[in-house]
Amino acid sequence: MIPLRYNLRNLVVRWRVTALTALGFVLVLAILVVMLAFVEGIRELARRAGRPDNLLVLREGTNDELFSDIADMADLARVWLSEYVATDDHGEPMVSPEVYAIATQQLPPDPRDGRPRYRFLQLRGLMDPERAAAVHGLRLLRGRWFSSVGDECVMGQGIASLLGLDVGSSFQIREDLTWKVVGILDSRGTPFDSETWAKREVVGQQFGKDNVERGQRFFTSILVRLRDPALADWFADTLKDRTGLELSAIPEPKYYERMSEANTLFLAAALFIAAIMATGGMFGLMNTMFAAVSQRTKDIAVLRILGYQRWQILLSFLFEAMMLALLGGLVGIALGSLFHGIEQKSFISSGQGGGKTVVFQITVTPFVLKTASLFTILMGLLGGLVPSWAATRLRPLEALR
Amino acid sequence: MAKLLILVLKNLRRNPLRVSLTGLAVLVLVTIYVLIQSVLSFLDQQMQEKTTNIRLIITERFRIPSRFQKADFDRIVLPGGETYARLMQLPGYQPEAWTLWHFMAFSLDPDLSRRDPNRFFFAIGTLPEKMPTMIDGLEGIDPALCAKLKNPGVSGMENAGLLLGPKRLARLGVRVGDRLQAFAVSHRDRTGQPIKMDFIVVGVLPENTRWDEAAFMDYDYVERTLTDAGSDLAGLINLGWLTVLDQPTAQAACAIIESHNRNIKCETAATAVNRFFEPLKDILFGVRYLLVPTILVVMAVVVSNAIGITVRERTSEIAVLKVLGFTPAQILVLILGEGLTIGILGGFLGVAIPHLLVNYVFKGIRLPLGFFPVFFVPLKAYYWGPWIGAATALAGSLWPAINGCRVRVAEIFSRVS
Repeated sequence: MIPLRYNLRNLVVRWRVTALTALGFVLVLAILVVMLAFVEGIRELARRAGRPDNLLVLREGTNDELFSDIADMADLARVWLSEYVATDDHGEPMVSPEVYAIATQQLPPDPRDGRPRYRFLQLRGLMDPERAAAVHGLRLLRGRWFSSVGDECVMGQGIASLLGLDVGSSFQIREDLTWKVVGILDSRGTPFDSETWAKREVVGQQFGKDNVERGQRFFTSILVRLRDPALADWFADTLKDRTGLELSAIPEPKYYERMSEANTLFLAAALFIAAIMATGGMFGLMNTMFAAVSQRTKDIAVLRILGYQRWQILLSFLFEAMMLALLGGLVGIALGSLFHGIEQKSFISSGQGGGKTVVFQITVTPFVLKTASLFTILMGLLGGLVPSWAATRLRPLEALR
Repeated sequence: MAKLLILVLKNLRRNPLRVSLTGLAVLVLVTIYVLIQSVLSFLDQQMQEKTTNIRLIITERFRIPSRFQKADFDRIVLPGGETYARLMQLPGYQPEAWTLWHFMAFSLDPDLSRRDPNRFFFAIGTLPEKMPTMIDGLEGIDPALCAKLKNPGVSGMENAGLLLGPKRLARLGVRVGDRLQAFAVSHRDRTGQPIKMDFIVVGVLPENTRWDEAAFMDYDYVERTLTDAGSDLAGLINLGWLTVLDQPTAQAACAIIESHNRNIKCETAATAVNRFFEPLKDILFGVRYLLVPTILVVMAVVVSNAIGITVRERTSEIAVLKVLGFTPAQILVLILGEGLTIGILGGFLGVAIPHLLVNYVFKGIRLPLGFFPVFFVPLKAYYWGPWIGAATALAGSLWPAINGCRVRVAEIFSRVS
């Protein structure tokens, strides 16, 4: 039998040291949970993005919509005239050719120097907004879709609230162009939350790669809904041959998965920082446990004389260290979990220099809780092992003397 | 004072295990602080407006990625244009301090669908003679090396020199002197096929700069190739750069440039970097105001715990010191001195170790943020580390030290007796 009650009572008696050591754990684990939950928030967003039966067609060699350009030509129609493309209730193919662009919006001048200020806005130019939304799996939260006449747009919920705009508001996107917001997308938790959707011609000519003088029109991507998701790979492989165009196609979820790959770096950085901080906390625990052992050499000697084996002493001190770690760790995890649901802004990128801004929520997932618990246990074990082993090396008679 | 210092050192030697563990905790926590602060301070530096030698970026006004006619830029920087004439009237305008960039992405693999990152490189077409003065981070580069972009020394390969960053050179598995055929991922010819360009690797960019994954080529070669291939991007550039003497000139120059051409915009490099980092503001805020303070508090807690244990173990000793005539202030200094010594030493090592490892062994912290792929520990970190170690150790030791001063001699002796 291991003298566990003795260890627990010691933690209570030496409450100041217990509290201070546990505080170190609380802080390390709380920050670990926040960092991991931040990365998980972006990953969750990417995981939920896109439908598995949707294929995103880009120009060969690019893996970011921003850098893709597909010339609008007759052959392009073969992409959606294929028998494998799904159709809507009216028999129309579920295809959305789009222009994705990042515009620099000019803002009123800075009163300090009178110079204009700018901000980036993510735009998506669409030929038929209703069909595009159907292919993307989005719907309007309020308002209506933009019409084919007039300068109108619909906005993602996130960007609309960030800019303080709603249905009926107008905003100047460039000196000679003002858009009226006619609808707000139900886009929370999707990568389209920070996008503004408008007519393809306007976005392509004003912010995209269209060359009006040469009569050239470009799409950046074509989103295609397949009849059967199982055909995705086959469709992607044969698309190039059938159209004769330099195109590539990937399932939509895979595109966003790739876009969030940059976050693996954030995850690695978060784990690295947490590991170093945990090492610092572990040294603190070692200090506490070594002090506990040196202050209780006589107790240990008595326990040994009473018949407790070395391994039982080892386990009892290890238990004490683990209790300290668990106490701090659990409070830290709970504290960090309070950040769950807080809205944040970041970007996802394919690594080619483009990327897109996304609004997401800090998400405490089972992965976060498991990793934080693992850190707690490891810190407790590693921090407690050496002092506990030192406790077993004490010679009872010498210690009593 | 010297005697107190000797006493502090002697006290530290009495429990080497505790001192080592506390010192190690300070060391690792200062290490992580230094790594984070190295990234933050570099970004702050880039986002902060300078007062002299200000870089201005000229870009297309409304689109990302920016592309505009080189002819528009020529009107700004070459004699003959009205814009140039007006700029020349500004006292801080430097007519020779300009350059331009044209970005291209290449693969060494003709099959572009195989996106092997080890066969891919990103190159900037620029003016070789301007590289030593107009590119941040390449200030010390040998002008003769840059000149090889124009004259690689191989007949029939005029202007086809390529300077590669050391990391990219290694990843591509090529050597200086090698001849490469590269296929443009970003540029097509008139038939829609990737543009092919032949290069001679003429040298390696300096180590430990943010350009160690990049490549530079001669803009004239880019322009000639694009024109010959009938590319839509012929005659276009992505960015133009100017350097002006001071802020008033920067403001005035931008106003002149924008008033002459409404399709381009001019702003300081710091303003542009700020806008690019806008989506990362939440992360940077969290790191600055949540992560960094937590690290400092953890450090203070660890030191406080260690010094607290020390004080509790030495109450009898402190009582004896008081009987011997030590004032509470001297005892306070003794205890704080122990914490400070650990903090300063741990702090110094917490800078020295990451500085050597990051800058010389790992060749930088690889955290691609925007245009900055790699970060280094700056020399000024040797100020931060010991200061942070000392300050947190002082904060952590203060309460145990005050408790130590308050030890009542009579109470301790009666307990001992």
